[in-house]
Amino acid sequence: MTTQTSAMGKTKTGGRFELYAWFFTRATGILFLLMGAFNLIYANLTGGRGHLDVGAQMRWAFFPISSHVSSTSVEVTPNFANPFWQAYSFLLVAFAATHGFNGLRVILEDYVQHPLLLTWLRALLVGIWLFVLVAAAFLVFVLV
Amino acid sequence: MKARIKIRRFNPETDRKPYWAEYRLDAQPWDRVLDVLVKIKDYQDGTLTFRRSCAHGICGSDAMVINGRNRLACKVLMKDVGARVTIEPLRGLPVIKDLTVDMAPFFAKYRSIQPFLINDDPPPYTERLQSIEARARFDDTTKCILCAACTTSCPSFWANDSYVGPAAIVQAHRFIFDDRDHGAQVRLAILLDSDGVWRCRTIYNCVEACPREIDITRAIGEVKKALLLGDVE
Ligand code: FES
Repeated sequence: MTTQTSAMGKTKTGGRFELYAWFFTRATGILFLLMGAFNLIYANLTGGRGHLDVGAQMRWAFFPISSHVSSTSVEVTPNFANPFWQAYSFLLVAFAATHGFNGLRVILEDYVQHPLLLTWLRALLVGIWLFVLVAAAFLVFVLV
Repeated sequence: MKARIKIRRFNPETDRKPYWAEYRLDAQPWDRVLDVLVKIKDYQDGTLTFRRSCAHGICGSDAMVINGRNRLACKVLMKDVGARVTIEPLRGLPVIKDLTVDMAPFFAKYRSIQPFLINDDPPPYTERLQSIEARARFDDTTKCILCAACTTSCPSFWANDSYVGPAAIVQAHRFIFDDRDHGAQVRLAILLDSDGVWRCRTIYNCVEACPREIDITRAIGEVKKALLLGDVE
């Protein structure tokens, strides 16, 4: 079947990118809640039950590196120095950050009309996003 | 009932910007808002401009913002909107005069999704038959009357008028899921564009606005799913 051009009056850009971004948002939205819940259950099973306040529970759920949760009675360092938990923690933060920054990109593209400003803001967003990923990798893999 | 009707009016030839005009008249509770507009035009101010054709909710001419909501004036009764009514032209389309908006951008979006049967098979001697189940698959989206109430209620469309809009997606859905039609992939490729279905943020304004009660957000979701799976079930 021949592909006919869109009559929306512009050349098409981006290909399947928006499709993947959309699916990624749906998938990670569910995934990082499940991952957080898994962290939380794990922390409570490994001795945290009764010793964690709400803040500590949340830190355990979404970013359980040693400097975050050292104040709790759960044994952090031995548990989290293994590659599985490091990869797990990094993925959790990476998913959350990518999900969030993609959301900001979508808002920018909806509401920023000026093309040059949009380009700059997008670049800024990518910069912050990369910084967050690098910082997370440093905290998880180097500092633990 | 004593009705007080405020209408957002604008005549580009004489007015620098739109203004509110107020009309008072006697209306019956069973009058439709359209009847009231006709009364104003006939007895009070002949310059009031609005579109209407069928007056029975099927031509899609008289969508307008009534008390802040997109409605067909011919489908809303005075007893349901109360004695104080504000009426504005649809948002997001250029106003030609008073309540009449320029529908050309809207219909350009409609045409962009190729709203006609695409089927290269030689036509059979009678008609192209279809099972009851296959017909039911896209029944909801056949109800669209192209009044633009949905597209002009959509904040994504207000923010960015290059978005193809819910009405065009509903019309695409009507053909994509019709098993007599062979153009599904062509239409899906058009809607894959960044100005296609992805600008839908599932705000549901379109569902609230639709005078035909089409489940628009569901239809858009089905198109997204078809794009994701690359397949029309
Ligand atoms: S006049 Fe035809 S839909 Fe209202």
